[in-house]
Amino acid sequence: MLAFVARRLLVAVPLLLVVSFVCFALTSLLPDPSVARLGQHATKANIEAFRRSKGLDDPFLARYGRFLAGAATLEFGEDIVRDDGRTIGAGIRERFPATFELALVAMVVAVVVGLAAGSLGAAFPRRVADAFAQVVAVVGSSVPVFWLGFMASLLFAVHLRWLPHPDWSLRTVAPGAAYATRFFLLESVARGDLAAVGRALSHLALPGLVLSTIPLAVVTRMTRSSMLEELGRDYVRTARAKGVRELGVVSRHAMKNALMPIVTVTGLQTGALLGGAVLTESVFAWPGLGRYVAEGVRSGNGPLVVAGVFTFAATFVVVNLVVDVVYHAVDPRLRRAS
Amino acid sequence: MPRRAALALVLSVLGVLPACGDRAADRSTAGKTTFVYARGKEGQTLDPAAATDGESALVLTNVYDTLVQFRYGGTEVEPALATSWALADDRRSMTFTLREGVLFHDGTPCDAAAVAVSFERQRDLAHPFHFEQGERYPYWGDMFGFVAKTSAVDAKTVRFDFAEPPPPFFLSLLAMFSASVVSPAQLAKGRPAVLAHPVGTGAFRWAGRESEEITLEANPTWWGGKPAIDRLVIVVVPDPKNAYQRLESGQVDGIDALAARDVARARGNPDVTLHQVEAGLSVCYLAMNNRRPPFDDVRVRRAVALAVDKPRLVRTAYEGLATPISTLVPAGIDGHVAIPDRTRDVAAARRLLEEAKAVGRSVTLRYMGNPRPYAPDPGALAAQLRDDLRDAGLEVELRKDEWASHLRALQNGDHELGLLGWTPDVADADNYLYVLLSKDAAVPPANNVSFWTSDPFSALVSKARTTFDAAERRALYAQAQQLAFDEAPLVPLVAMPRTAATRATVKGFRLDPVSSPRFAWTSVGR
Repeated sequence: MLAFVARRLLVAVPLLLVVSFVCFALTSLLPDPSVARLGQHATKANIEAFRRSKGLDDPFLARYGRFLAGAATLEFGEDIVRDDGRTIGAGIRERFPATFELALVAMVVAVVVGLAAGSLGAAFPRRVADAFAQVVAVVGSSVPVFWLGFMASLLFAVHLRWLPHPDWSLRTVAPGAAYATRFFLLESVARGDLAAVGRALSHLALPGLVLSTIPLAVVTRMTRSSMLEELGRDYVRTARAKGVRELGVVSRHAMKNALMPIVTVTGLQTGALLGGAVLTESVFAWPGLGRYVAEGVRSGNGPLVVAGVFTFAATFVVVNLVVDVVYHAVDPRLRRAS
Repeated sequence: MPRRAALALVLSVLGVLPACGDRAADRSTAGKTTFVYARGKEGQTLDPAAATDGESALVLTNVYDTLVQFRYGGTEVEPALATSWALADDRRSMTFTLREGVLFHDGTPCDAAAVAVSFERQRDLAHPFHFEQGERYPYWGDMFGFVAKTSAVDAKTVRFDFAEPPPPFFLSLLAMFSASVVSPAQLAKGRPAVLAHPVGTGAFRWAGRESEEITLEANPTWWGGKPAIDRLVIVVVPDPKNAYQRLESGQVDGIDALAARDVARARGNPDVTLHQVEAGLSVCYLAMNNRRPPFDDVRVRRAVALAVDKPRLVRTAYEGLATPISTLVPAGIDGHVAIPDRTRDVAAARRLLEEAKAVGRSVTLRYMGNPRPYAPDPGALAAQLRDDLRDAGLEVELRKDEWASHLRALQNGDHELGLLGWTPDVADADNYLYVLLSKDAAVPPANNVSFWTSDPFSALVSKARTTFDAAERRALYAQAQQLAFDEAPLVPLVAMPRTAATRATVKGFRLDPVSSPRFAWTSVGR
């Protein structure tokens, strides 16, 4: 198993190199960062001095080499647009926890609800439950997140006032406390501070539920089709023949075999969400990675954008690795093979 | 089984709701008053010398003091760190007497030597605290070029020596955030220290930054008195509509820049106070490239000015929240003249175009894809301008670019018609007329994107730069504005009011026309 993990990580190195190279080559299409940095009033001398001091006019390979050197330390150099003394790496590390916990909540909701709805749909095809599951899937995959987000905050935060507008900060989650990380939810759980966990969840609820509609649709449909296929197999008929109740058939027998493709899509969706949900993060003012990188695109902050994409790619590699490990856990055939 | 788990999850989420119902709880930790202010995005820097954006200015203005400051809610300057000042008779130097006993947040004294450092580090490229490696600081390079030296005469007297007489608006320049006085002890720790922890003499001192959130706390020994707000938290909410919802629900205490729809809502909501500077300083205009036909012909330019329907523009592209203008200098600025605007006359416009043989001519109007402070919906604005000009006989094609590319294209003169606007650095007519229309400003990357190079106009505004007599200056600007109106190098469209809103319980908040919001005199009641 260790050799397998090591091999996969080794393969990721050239992959990340290719991704960063392609992305870096594309940054020449970004807007001129001197506008974002110096504003509308900059003189020609200011603009030239800025470009010179940030090395923006250096040859491509020199700039790419600088990027790689920065990537090796995970700091990615200084931010060329935002001159606040922090490295790009520091900005990413600050925002990743917010994106991670949002993705976590969204995926938990999507997997739990998706498995239930998909299984129900498969167990009782073309009945009310199935129709409901299908509607959930279609709505989830077709309604734009920014609209859903706006409506959800209007309903739950403005009219009903059941949930706060997300305000992801230690000030709101655990006022007065000193946390070691910015994983506010996980650290609150680790500290056993139930009130803080509750507050964290209340701030995560709106964006988490809205964001979950995307993976929810995929998980529901994958569960339904995979489950339908399994329920038609001989071992299921055998199980039914020996008198296992339908709930047992679905959850104990068919589910295990239907799980493989579900794990696959769950992994892919998790990877996508960890890349930062730009729209959800913007609608809810969530201080995550997606908005950070999107703002970088708008301001022409090339190094930041490439560093962001680099991080997404690396996250994806790790998530895929985890998926492979999970395969091993759920499929005894793979365990035997290795 | 999965069903039960889902139910449990939903219940657990609902179960925590009561815990967050009491939102005021986290507002009054340990009996302290916290004020949460939402802005659209983060600032770029905490070094006042390097800052150019309003978002940076918001933090800088509250942490740092300047020698003089704008009167709260106004554009006139009043004493701040300096209590009095005197310009030498030959106008080659100016001395400022400092307020006594002022300390920086780090406890070091704010004496004349300390004040001089904040200016010298910007002027002198070789100064140890000049952090930009041979690069001029943007505002210093642009606006303080006439300052030859800043020095301490004695502990409480600072002296500026000038290479040439300063402009009449020198004191307004000294009230800008770039003229903030920074603790030399902090500067000595190097650039990262200044950027991570700004140390000034202001009403609030730096308490920390977490991701996008900045916290300041009251400076108990501020020379103007301890602020009523104990803690000022500045958060980022990118969507202005969402920011307004947060204000209505009480999660934030103040927001800036409201959408037009929310301005109307705020007026009708007793829980919310709307703050508005009616005569806003941000202006929007339609630039015509005077170097390119057909706009090198004054008849064509006048035809364009006649064809534009400004009142309708205000309704369609601004949802009513803007004021049509006939001159670039807005009503709130000294030197503004109320020139009666042309009323829309399509027939007259067409006649002028016929005379110039420009009817049916095809021109391109470039506009920006991103909203700007003076153009919340540039697409709607451009579309109506196209329709207005078509009525008069010009075939207008639209071209949209993302903001940075759009600005650069116009500044380099790669346009026939272009949509642009301006938010001034200094509340002075000079900052509109000289900067946007003088010959000197028509060199790429030009701020005079009309590339209008009128000698009489440039002579008038240049003379006004060195005229200290207020009445004489006003007369010069009146002539210049009339000239610009007649020659129509560009069409001034609208001035945008500046808006902000606070909870009704917030007292003493005033929106400044020029300065960023200052919270030194703001309090939160019950």
